[in-house]
Amino acid sequence: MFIFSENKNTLVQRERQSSIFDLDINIIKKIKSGDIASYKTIVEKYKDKALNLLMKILKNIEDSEDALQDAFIKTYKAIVEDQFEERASFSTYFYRIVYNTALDHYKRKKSKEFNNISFDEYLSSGDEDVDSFQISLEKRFISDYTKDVYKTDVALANSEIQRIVNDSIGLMPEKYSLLLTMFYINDLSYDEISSILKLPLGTVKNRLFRAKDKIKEIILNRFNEKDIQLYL
Amino acid sequence: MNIENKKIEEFLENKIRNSSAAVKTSDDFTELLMKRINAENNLIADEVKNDKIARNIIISFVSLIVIMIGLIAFSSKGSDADVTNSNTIKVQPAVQTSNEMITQVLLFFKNIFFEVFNYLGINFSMNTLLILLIVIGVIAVFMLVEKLLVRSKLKSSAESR
Repeated sequence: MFIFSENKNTLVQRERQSSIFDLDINIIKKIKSGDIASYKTIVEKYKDKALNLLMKILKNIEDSEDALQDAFIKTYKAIVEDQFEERASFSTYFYRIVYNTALDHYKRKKSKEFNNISFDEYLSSGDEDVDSFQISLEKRFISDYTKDVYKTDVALANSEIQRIVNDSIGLMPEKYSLLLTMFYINDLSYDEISSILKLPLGTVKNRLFRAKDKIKEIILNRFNEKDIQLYL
Repeated sequence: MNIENKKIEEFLENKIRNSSAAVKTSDDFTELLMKRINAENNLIADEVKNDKIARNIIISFVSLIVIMIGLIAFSSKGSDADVTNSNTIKVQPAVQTSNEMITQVLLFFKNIFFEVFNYLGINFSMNTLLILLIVIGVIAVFMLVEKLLVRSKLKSSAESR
């Protein structure tokens, strides 16, 4: 049943991507014909979503913005130098550049810190660390545990759940939070994520499921399922 | 999965999507980027212009070499024929005039080459010059082809940059 829900989501995602694809291709045609100002539309559309992705790897807003500027310039050059083929999805192409730029900046940053662990190696490592972040999150929330307040204030409960989700994604190991960001925020499909990160499709699906399941578990530990029904 | 569970899943997915709202670029991000893009655009325009000039120079050079090789070959064939058939074949005046012109042009280039190489202290025959020109021509063609190949390879590897 979970698979059914995921398939439906994927279909909705596909439809949305198709219209985005057509829109992007029209803008790209304009840029190729010399209309530089059209690139601003692309920048405005992708900058915040891409920044979320970069933050998961670089963990610092200044470094992430620098990397994002580089990624946008590389993408622009690829468009005007005719390296981007219009039959491909622009968003996948762009996020691939963003991810590779993030890796370059990560390597540069780590070499300054004399840390030789590459992000790709870390990403391909095992999934045994999925539970570690839950303990730190539970500890963090236990002190201000005021369950009863939320029964009477739906808005407060909603913002509290949002806070838990934000903190969970922030504290989660990057190999999970990165996938959540790519799937839910960057609107990339399993296949696209798998090809960008060079991970097996099964690993992508498994990590996404586990990451979402962990957040759900944390929320259900704090809120009753019946109470959550009230906030929907 | 029952309907309630499905609703909770969707609720959670929306919360995950909304989590992106917490991270935003700085206010002047787009403005700064567009300035860099404009500068980059000027660089690209210059690069394209230089590429075009370089390509034209290479093509002109290759053409010149090919013409000279042709002229040398034609002239040496003509002079052989002159030696063997000078008493048997009557050459038409118009053809003779054009042959003389070609020979003059050829002699002009030949003299330039010999002068330059004599100046450098190198001494060689007409055949050596022909081989040298062919070698230069092959190098020039190779450079041109390599330039085109490198460009197409860059195109395919752009994603990984």
